Amino acid sequence: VTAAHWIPHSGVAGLAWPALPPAPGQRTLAIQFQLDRSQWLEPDAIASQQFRQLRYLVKHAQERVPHYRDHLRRSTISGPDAIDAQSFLRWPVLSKPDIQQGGDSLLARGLPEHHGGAHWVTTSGSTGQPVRVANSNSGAFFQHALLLRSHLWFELDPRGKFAIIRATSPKAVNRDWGIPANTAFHTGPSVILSAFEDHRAQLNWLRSEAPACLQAHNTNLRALMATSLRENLVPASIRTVIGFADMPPPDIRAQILAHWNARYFETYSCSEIGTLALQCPRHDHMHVQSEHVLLEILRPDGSPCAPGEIGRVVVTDLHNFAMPLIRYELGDQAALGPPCPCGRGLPVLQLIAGRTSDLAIDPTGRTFFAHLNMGFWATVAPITQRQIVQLAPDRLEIRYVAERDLTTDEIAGLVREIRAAMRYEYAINCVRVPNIRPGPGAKFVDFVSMIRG
Amino acid sequence: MTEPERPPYSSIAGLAWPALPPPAGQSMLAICFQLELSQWLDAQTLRQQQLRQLRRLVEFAHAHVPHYRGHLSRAGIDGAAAIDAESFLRWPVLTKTEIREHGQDLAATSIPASHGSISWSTTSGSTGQPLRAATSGIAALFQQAVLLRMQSWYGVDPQSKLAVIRMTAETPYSGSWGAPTDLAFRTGPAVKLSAFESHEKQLDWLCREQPGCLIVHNANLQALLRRSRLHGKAPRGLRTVMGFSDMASPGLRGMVRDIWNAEYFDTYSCAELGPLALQCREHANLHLQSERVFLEVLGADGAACAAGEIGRVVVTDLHNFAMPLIRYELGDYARLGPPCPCGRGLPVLAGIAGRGGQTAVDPTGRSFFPRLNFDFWLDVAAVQQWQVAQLAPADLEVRYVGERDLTADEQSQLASEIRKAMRYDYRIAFTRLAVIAHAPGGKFDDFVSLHHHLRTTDG
Repeated sequence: VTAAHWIPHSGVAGLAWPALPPAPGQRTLAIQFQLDRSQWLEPDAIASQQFRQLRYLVKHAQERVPHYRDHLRRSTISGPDAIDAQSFLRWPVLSKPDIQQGGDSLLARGLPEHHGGAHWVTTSGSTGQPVRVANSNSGAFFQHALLLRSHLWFELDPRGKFAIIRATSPKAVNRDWGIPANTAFHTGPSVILSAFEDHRAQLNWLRSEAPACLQAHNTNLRALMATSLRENLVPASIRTVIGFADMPPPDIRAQILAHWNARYFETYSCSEIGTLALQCPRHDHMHVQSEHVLLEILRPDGSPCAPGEIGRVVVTDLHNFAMPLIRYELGDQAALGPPCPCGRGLPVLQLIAGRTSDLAIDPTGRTFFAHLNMGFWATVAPITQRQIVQLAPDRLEIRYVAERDLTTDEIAGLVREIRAAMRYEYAINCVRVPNIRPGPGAKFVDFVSMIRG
Repeated sequence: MTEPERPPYSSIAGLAWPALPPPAGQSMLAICFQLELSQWLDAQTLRQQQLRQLRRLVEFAHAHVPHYRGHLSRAGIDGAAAIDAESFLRWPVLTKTEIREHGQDLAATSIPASHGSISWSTTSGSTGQPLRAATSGIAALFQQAVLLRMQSWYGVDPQSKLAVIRMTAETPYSGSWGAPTDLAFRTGPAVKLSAFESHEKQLDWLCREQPGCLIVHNANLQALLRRSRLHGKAPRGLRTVMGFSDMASPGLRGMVRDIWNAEYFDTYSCAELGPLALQCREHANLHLQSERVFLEVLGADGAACAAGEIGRVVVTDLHNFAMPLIRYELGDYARLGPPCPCGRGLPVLAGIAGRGGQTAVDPTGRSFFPRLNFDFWLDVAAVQQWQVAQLAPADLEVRYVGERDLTADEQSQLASEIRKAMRYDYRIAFTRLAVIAHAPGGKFDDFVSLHHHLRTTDG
């Protein structure tokens, strides 16, 4: 069904099929042609192409970016051609403070021909540390290419209406889906709403706009779903939901299927680099988008994690020559999975296990990931949104948004579940709040630790 | 078996993968992307898209090509928008004779600039009637895209050496494969040899050049394989052999594998339109290249043949506005087959019955398309190339090229196989020749009728 609908428009009179779109559309399709194939390459072949591209980036960075001038020498790598999976592990990791303090030293002194200009992107990422990153037009071009791949992977119908709820955008109505889809395809309209709208208003908007596809923050989706169930308001037109930004609640896929009769797809992205991983078209886990990003999962000592082992996410944008981000630590945690049964050679990213700034502890000294995205939040008490704050090693506060105060029984149920999940008898108090504002960068911080040092 | 895919090359410094090739390569890959998706469309959707493109072609032809000016009304079709599979059957068939006699009227009076420049070519086609055809740049681009699909389907490594044996070999060596491959991919070198060279010389040349990929006429290939087996001499490193033009014997694939340790793929093409059908990547079926060509198989009365029924091949080039060939009768006979198990929606051409298109008769009055390309020829080692000629209703002549005369036993064995295949007790004479001439244009007919009254008269 999808292929039948993704037939490009033509820029040549009399030619309808196959089509020859105008030059920007041809560029778009020329990349999709490659992505369509590269996804099936063997992991080794993918890595070999990645390192081929990486060597160009490193050579450029060494010659034109002051920050990286000595990196090869400091890593005892004899030159860009000697970059491989082994030697690259010695290349210093780039932290957010490095970017904050590095200033212009990360900016390239000139771009190769045809890489276009550069533009600034500001983000707080998932750690709440604001950074400003310059991206080249060619870097953005590859980001767009992955956006189009996501449309194809998720089998969206381009004729349908696309709705986006995101934090920073004012309400808008567009006649098409915008770049890159509109460079080669006729698409339906797109509509945008701010995520700061009340969830009932969001639902009413979705019901009146009747989109076929919705893209929204995962946290927002969870709250939307809770409101939808409570108010019995179903956005019935939606066939596909694409979650992004923060961590998806584990039950969101099943809930969206059960209550909205729609398919949910997970994505993993960051403002600085764009899409990092997309859910497999056939499975629930994600595939790293290796054609654009070299993604590593590292242990605290800097060595690579084994499959299944949770570690720090470190990424390299292979195409942004304006401000090369080489081995950039995002502040997220993830694990690589075993090869996907779908046959794609793109690595499997099994889960994004929270953020290093949000680790929980207990009085025994155990430091752990407070993975509290369990189903009990939806069943034990009528909560539309919540946040857990660790005030002391043995003390938590649950801040929640709800129509009414929780009963003593409901609170007791929640406390029991949380203690069981976190494997410690914390002292827990529950506080009802009017709202929980998203953290910096509009990403909702699920678990906030007030313990510093 | 196949090498990892070679990515395209990039024309932008520092961007190696994914690559951005020069604009012509981008155009090519933009079409290839669509072909990747469209091959999996179901047959009905493919037909809808073909008709959508066909209506554009007819609309253009009606307005800009003198020959077609009255066709819509003569066919009783109420405008290009009313073209569908049903009404299109009333559109007059275009014969080679018409092209030869009214060629000027078939050229468009003007074409949109975006269709590129026009090139002229001469072809004989399978019936040996030479004619001139004009092709637009856009139509050539789409032909080339199908050639790239062919290389992709067959897992051809563009960085290997390509060898081509065909009638003309004007550039015996070039550093690259040329268009379309080198528009977007780095290629190895290409070597070419004329098919008029002796098989001995051809085989020596292949053994010397050691190509990874070979393109060759099917009949020529068969002769080369026989010689190779006879002399125990085989080209090393050959991975892929693509046959074209003449009919492939069912045993050819196995011979290529056994004697040369290479994969064989059959193709069906014509000079005017390029590839019409390509062998499936996974099966022996030929897939119609429906994105390029609207192909019909018609019965004697002009009605569409049912699947499995042999009929005349009539083709429409969907993209050539320079000289639209609409319902053009190639002179070949074929039948459509059931859907391919590979899952591609591209229809299957199950058999091309005598690419030469010449009919045989017997004294009872039966006329038929002889299929003589059976494996029994392979059992007679002395035969390098063969052709059967019908001299009279009850008389055949077997012409053959070989190292020596056939023995009486061999002759009698062959004669009995031929009689069995043709289901009549013909008188059969054997003649050994130094060379068997190709039809003008290079196609080779394994069956020729010299019996004056037998020739088809409509072509």
